[in-house]
Amino acid sequence: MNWLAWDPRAYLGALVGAVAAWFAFGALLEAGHFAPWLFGVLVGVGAAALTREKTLVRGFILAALATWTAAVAQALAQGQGIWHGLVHFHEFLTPSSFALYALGFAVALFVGGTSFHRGATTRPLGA
Amino acid sequence: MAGLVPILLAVLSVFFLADLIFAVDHYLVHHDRPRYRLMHGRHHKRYFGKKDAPQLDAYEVTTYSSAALMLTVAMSLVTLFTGNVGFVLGGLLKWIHSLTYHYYQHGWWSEEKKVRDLELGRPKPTWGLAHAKYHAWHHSNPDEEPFTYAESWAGFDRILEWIDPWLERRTVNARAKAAKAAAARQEVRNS
Repeated sequence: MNWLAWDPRAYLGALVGAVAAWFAFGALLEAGHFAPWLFGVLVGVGAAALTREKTLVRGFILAALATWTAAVAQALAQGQGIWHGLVHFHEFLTPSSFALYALGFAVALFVGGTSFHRGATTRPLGA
Repeated sequence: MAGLVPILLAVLSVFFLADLIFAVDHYLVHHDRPRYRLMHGRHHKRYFGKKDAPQLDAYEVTTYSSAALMLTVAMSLVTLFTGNVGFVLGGLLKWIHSLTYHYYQHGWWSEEKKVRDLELGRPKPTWGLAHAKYHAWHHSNPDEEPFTYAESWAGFDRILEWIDPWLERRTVNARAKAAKAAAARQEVRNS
């Protein structure tokens, strides 16, 4: 039995990437740059750096988690609390901010689903 | 926050769309020998034997739940980006439906009666709702018609039957068969 292509190393790498993205997102926001895509990039790179297994299922889960983490970071940055920020998230969405989120999702999906290690194995869908 | 009608429409859309995806994937896994042997075949092997576990065994719980969790996670993002909570509720509803639907069906068989011994009968190829007995036909007779992959609307199976001649040629099994035939022809030419 395996839930969602579980691999502790990949998720540890993703967690490290998410923490790094959290601080980088805050620093860039203070400098006037809105970069939610950072979460997808760093989460994906963190997972791919540590895992020795390729699976699109993990990439999808990490992409979703990265997007949610970015949304929470944005909600907190607005200063009205997480709940208010997430419930009204769609009201603040513009085509360009949606594109930045989509970029982060796509990078996390494909990078987070792969491995930077030579000889990494591929896990079949559903296994 | 979205109104009641958009929420209900989102719930129903996700519930039926998810079943379409599950039905097509179910069809494809039955036409993909390596994938079938690795995972799904275990499911049917259990049905052909005596009941060896509670209603749902660990493999079935993780399989149904992994697919439903993926759907729910995807729909949670759609909810975040649209503000319509119906999308994530539709994912959760499909999750509950998949588990309870199979839990109910598995209550029919026992150590004494294998699934085939239940003699549930060949269902009519309808366009209505896919009731539990309809889908159970696939459990006992996976290679026989009519298709009963669907868990909510039987129409998905009728559409699959209609496109089957076209889709079957594009499956992993058909491609492997074509590659084997081409290799055999090449060998004849070389000899």
